[in-house]
Amino acid sequence: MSLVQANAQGQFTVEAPNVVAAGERFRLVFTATDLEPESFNPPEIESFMVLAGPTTSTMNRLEYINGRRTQSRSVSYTYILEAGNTGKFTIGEASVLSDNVTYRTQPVTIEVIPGTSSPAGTVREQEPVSATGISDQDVFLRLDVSKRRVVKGEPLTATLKLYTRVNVSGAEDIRFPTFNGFWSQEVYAPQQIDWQRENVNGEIYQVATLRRYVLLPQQSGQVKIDPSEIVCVIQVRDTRRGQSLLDDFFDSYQTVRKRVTAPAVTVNVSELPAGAPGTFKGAVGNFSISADIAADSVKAHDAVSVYVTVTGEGNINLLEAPLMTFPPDFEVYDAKVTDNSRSTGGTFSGSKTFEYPVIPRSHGDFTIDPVEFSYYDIQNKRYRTIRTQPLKLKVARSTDVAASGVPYTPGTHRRAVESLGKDIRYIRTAVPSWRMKGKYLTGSYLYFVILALIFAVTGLVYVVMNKRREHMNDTIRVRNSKANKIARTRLKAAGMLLKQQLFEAYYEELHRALWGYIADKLGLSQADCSRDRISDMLRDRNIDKELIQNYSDIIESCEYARYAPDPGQLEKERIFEAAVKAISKMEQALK
Amino acid sequence: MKKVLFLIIFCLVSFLTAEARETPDSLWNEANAYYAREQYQDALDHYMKIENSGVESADLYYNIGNTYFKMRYMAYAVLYYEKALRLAPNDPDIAYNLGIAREQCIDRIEPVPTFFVADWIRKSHQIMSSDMWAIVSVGVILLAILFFLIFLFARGVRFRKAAFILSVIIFLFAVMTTVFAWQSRKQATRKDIAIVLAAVSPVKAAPDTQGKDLLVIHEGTRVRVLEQMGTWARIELEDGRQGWVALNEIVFVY
Repeated sequence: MSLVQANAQGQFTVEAPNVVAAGERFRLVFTATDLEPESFNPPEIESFMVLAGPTTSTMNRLEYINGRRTQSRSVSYTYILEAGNTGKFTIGEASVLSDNVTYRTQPVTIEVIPGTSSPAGTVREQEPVSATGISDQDVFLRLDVSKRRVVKGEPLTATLKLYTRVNVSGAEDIRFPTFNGFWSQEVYAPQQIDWQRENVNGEIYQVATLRRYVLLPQQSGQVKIDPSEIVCVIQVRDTRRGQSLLDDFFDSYQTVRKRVTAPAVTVNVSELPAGAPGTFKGAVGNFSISADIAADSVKAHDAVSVYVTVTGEGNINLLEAPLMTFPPDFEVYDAKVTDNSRSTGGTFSGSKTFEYPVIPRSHGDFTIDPVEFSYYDIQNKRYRTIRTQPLKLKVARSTDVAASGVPYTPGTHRRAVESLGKDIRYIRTAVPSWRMKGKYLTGSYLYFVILALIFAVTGLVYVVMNKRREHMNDTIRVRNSKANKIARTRLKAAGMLLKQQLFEAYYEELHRALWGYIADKLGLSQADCSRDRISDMLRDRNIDKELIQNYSDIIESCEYARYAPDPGQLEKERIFEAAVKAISKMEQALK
Repeated sequence: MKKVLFLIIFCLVSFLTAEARETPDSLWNEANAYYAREQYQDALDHYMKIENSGVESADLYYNIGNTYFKMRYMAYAVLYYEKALRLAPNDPDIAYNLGIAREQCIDRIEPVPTFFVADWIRKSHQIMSSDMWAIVSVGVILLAILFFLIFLFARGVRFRKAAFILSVIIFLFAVMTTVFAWQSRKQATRKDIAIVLAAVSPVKAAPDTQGKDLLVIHEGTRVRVLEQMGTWARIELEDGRQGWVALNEIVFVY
């Protein structure tokens, strides 16, 4: 076979029925198409009786199709064989030599079953039966499904076949099955009916495959495929008009229509097991995934395509686009889907490519997260999750905005910071200061103790301060009461000194009398005394301003006179008088 | 002072317990490590050990709330955020996460709008925790007393006058902070706030399983318990509707 395919021009094929009845004669034909066979090496035929052959026939064919001329030439070697014993027999390979290349056929297996039909005629030249004799055994329709128990999404094939033992010349009013609950695709729909022989319970039937579908169950449970119907046109010999001699010679046939129905088929579709991963979207089969990016580096605002390809077999044509997460500043458009899947052997295989056009809006190095894809593995009966490699993309700074024809104005590209998701804030990690459960400082013993302590200390301070103040008040009071007396004594002494003509001592004594009096009266220590201070304090006690000024002036003149030249006796006496007057006035004012 | 006292109590507690090396601090760090590795069940176990050892902190409740949130137990998350908020009423993170956890809960209840002055007062004593208010109030009382003493014993009329006015003002502050301390303690130890933990809880018209269903509330909803009668509690929703629910379907925040 490999050699046959190696040379595309020529073919060497074999044609034989699958099933024959014992004693039946049949043809075995080897055909060399577009070859120049130099020698034919016949097969070994042991299990069948060779009645004739090999007879060689040559056929030339010339075709014009749409003005194109094609020519083909085929040589066929035909055997007429008769089946002997029942069983399965293999006819070995035959070969031809053409242009020094050997072409071989595949061995064919022929099943011989006990004969039921007359050994003289082949089934192909079946005896037409009368219209009334056509039973459901003679012609029936059947829908075969490859699997009766599937999981949701697992592909299965359904084949609609017409079986017949009578001469069916045509079909009309075909109602093909409807597959509710399945996604279905026709994978075989012949233009012409191609009859094959098949052994059905020891009977040879002519079988025509009308349709083949690949089905993908979409719902679970007992899913019923509705019956299909066909009206067969059957040729039967006309038995009514059997009088004429000619009628016997020229068989006259009558056309009979028979409605045959394929029984409904139920497929048990079970739900996929629980525990599907989050990325599972109904893929069933066996897949692999890969991701690719059209360019490793682009400029900002330039489009780039990201391809995700799922390859494998299963319900690949129904796959949804896997969820891609792009970096936040990427503009993503809808995926373009390219489906390269074909139906092969009752399932779909191939690849499906999802092309995501993205436009990165800012520059930098980005990593596109791996794409996760989950599917249900039918063989191992479990879910699998596969992922791609992460893709790296370098986005260069866009050269300028002029490329898109918009002049750059500062501020136009500013935008609000987008919130991408919402989640709780993270836990606290610093070791907190622990507190006893349910214990509050307010109202606790400690709280009251602190408060009590504060008030106790306050009381203590008050008592101490009060005592001290009283003590001070006492001394002040004593000084106050004695002030007048002391002042008088000093004035008297001053008077004495004046008489003794000791002027310096006189002024000193006078000054001391004035100062001492006011300091005692105001409770001031000698150190605290200053004229301003005294004036202020006196003013606070609402003493007449004139009096304060007067008192102050006298003190000043005393101080002045001590160091000044002698002003004369009269003046000294005047100051003495004034001092006595001021002190007595102050005494009255300070009462 | 307070910390020292607690430290002494701690030393005693850890000395008395068998697992002396499992201090709250070490448990705390381990739990945080588990949380960071997304092993939430282990993290929760460790946090719970701390809570069961008799200490608490707003951060502990906050982290427990976060752990429950990550484990999708929204009602418990709400419960622990509420607990955290009681200890730290002014913490923006707790309020934020509580808001998100509430959004995940089924029931959306529009609270009855409160008078804005009441809001201000409530908010003002939520600035600090009760303990902080207590400390502040003690400080303010001290200050008021100081100024009063100055008024009493100082010389100089104007000086004394100023001291008197100040002491009166500060005394008013002292009264206010003390009231706040007591108020926020009262708020923090309120025993009438509860969270619905049952997935679905029917609210009955009477404290009786045969009672007519008035409403149905779901987990995570905050209710105020007005009274208790046997195994039933009369609750009030934040929008003012009332009814009876079984006590075992709710958990008190305090």
